[in-house]
Amino acid sequence: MRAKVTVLIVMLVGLHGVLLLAGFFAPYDPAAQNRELSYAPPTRLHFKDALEFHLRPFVYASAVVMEGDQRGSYQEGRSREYQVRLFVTGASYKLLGVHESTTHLFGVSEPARIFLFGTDAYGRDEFSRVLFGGQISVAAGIVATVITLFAGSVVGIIAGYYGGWVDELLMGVNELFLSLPWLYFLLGVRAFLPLHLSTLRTFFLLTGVIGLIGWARPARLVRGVVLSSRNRSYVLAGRGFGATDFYLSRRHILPEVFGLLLTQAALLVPRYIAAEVTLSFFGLGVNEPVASWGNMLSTLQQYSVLVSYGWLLAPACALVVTSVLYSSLAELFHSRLKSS
Amino acid sequence: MSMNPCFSALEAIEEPLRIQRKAIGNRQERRDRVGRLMIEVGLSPDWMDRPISNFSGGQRQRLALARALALRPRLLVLDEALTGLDVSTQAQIANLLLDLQAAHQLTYLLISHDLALVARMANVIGVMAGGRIVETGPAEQIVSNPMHAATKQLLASAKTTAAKFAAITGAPS
Amino acid sequence: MNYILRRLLRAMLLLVGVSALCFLFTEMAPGSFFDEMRLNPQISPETIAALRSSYGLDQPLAVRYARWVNAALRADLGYSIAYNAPVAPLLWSRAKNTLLLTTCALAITWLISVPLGVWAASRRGGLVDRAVTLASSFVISVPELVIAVGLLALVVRWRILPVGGMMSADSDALSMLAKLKDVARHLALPAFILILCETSIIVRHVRASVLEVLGATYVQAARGLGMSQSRLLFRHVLPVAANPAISLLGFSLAGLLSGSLIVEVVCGWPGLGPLILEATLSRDLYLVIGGIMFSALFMIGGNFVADMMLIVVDPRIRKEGVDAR
Repeated sequence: MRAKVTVLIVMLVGLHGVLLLAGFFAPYDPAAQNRELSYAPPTRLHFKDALEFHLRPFVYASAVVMEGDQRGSYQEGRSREYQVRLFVTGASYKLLGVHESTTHLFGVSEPARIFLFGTDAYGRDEFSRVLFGGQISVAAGIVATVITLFAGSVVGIIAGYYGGWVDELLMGVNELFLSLPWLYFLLGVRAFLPLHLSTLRTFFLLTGVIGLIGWARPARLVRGVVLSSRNRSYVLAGRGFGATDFYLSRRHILPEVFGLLLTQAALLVPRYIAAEVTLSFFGLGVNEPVASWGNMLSTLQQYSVLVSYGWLLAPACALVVTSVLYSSLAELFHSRLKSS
Repeated sequence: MSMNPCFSALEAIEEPLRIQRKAIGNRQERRDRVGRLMIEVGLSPDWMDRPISNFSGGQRQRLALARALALRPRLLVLDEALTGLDVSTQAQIANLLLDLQAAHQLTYLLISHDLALVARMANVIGVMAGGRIVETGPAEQIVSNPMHAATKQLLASAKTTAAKFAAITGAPS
Repeated sequence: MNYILRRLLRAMLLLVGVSALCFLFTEMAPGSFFDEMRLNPQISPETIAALRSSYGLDQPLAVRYARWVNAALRADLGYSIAYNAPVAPLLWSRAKNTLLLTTCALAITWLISVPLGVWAASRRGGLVDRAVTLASSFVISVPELVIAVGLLALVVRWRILPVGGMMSADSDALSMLAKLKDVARHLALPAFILILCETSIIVRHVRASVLEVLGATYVQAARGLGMSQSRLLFRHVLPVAANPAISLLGFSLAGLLSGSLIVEVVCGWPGLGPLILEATLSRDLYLVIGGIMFSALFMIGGNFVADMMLIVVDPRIRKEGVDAR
């Protein structure tokens, strides 16, 4: 059991690490357009050429073959092999927003390109965009989760601890929010905010809205934990020794709340990432030119794009991987909490 | 269970001291203090860092006693302190209580439905019936010469039990 | 009886609360809404001024709320700018389509989930159980949007079903039966997605509650008395496991209007979802609020019905009035 949790956490940390250092792991700038290479399929990695097997993979330069007037499909030019090299110099970026660097993990020499996930309508590298888009989407999920859990905890602890009319009032409001259809409410709130804002403001607005709407269920759960903890015999014993409310909360009640919050966090993060993706997909979240998994997927609303350029589903795959990791973690936490 | 199962024995015993801000001294001094308390109640100080959930019922009762003694009280209220423990453990804890009383000049307020225990440990007995005290007096007097109907009933049932026990085992009642 | 009245009162209060919240929304950013309208060249300043006064924006807050509630009670939820039509009929016509989709999906979901959950629980650890647990875990982890887009891609690529809209373009010419078939074929994909997602959630709950009952001491005792598995299931386990299942059904009912937004938009089903989305994108104030109110109404009503069903099923609540949620 411990082993499973460790493996999951390692994988999650790895995923987040890659996203955090997207500039390094991505071979290209996510905004760099290559109009002549639009909708290019993923670059094939070759290990074997006409002569022998190489350990280091290589690629061929691809270009569109014109069939008369029409754009044809992509063909590889077999004249020259371009080896995939590590730690190449490429477009400059800011690592973690502070350190300027031009080193990328892997790349190929011009004019060949290594588009691991192909390109989009503007010829932008899908792989790089998935990494940078992931920064936005995952960060949105995490920030919104923190907001929700913070708001929910504060309300839940106050309601559970003080009881009486404070509790009644808070739970009344709580039930009100629980009665609102989540997604519709999100749309509603989003509708009242200016539609076009700078990216940073959109991001904060988005995460704020997603986070604040979801406070109701965690608040109820926290309140439940506080209520049951309050009446434990060891809390009463502590009171008998003269303990203040503050001491009892800190030593006995909060540790239990913390366990609950951990499980909730693992549950909420993937849901909130999905919420950001959904909103951006509908055009209500982060907009072009900033990449987020949501607005990357929104081009797939046209059936022709969806069917012909399947590699553009890459953000969806990334989203699934992230969600599955978090959900598995949540499940493990949940069963651990239940048994203890 | 009046101790947080997630706490270690050390944390549980030390808690009253922390609450009253009397948990002074560095780490080792505090551990020594708790260790002494644990020895007094018949537990090994090596178990100081184990969580409360690891201890048996009788051991937890000893830990609770150690915790109660941490603040050097003069009066200890023992409300059904031995209920739920198996018979041999009850006897051990009862002896422990008497030893502690002698060592620390403690006064006990023992609340129990176990007449034998009360008769053995108490100097003064008060009998309650229907929510009020109906008879009080020195222990020997209550046992030998009960006045109130409730007291008489209690003694009668105890005697029956003792007689049955003697009949089964052949020991004197 | 007391309990029913209290629940009803609570539902009413919730409705009032929701309406107040929605009303507050209209107040919170009317400035920016009308500012955006000013930027829109299609709307003249006179129209804006007229709208402002017709919405009574110069009156004090309480008066405005009272007027709003008054109108809402008469099913007048305002006017949609984009559609140039009153909001309520618009909402209702689309809501009917949504309800068609969601009730079909709900019925099939429950018809599948309950037997499947009971089966998985009664043969715990068996092949069915493990398959169900694994599959449902996976489906739950994947966001609904991804499932919808993925399945849409498959369906469009392999041309299995028609996509987009509720009926084909030439449906007027068809007979009644053919029309039904046509609608059903358009319904298939969105319904399938909904059924897939909901079944995964519900089957787990059914399985969990049946397992819980199976582990109870009175069931062990009945087994010890030599009761057969089927009699055990139907006479003792299911009636008790029905309680949490009914709660869940209540939640499903509550979400009938609002749970299918993503699916409708992705598959192009002409329901309430796409309408509200469009309204949000075009900042059509009253349509959005109307939509929220409408679906909140459904939600509160659904929860209330769930509470009533619980009373019928669980005698304990009748006696104690316990909050079973």
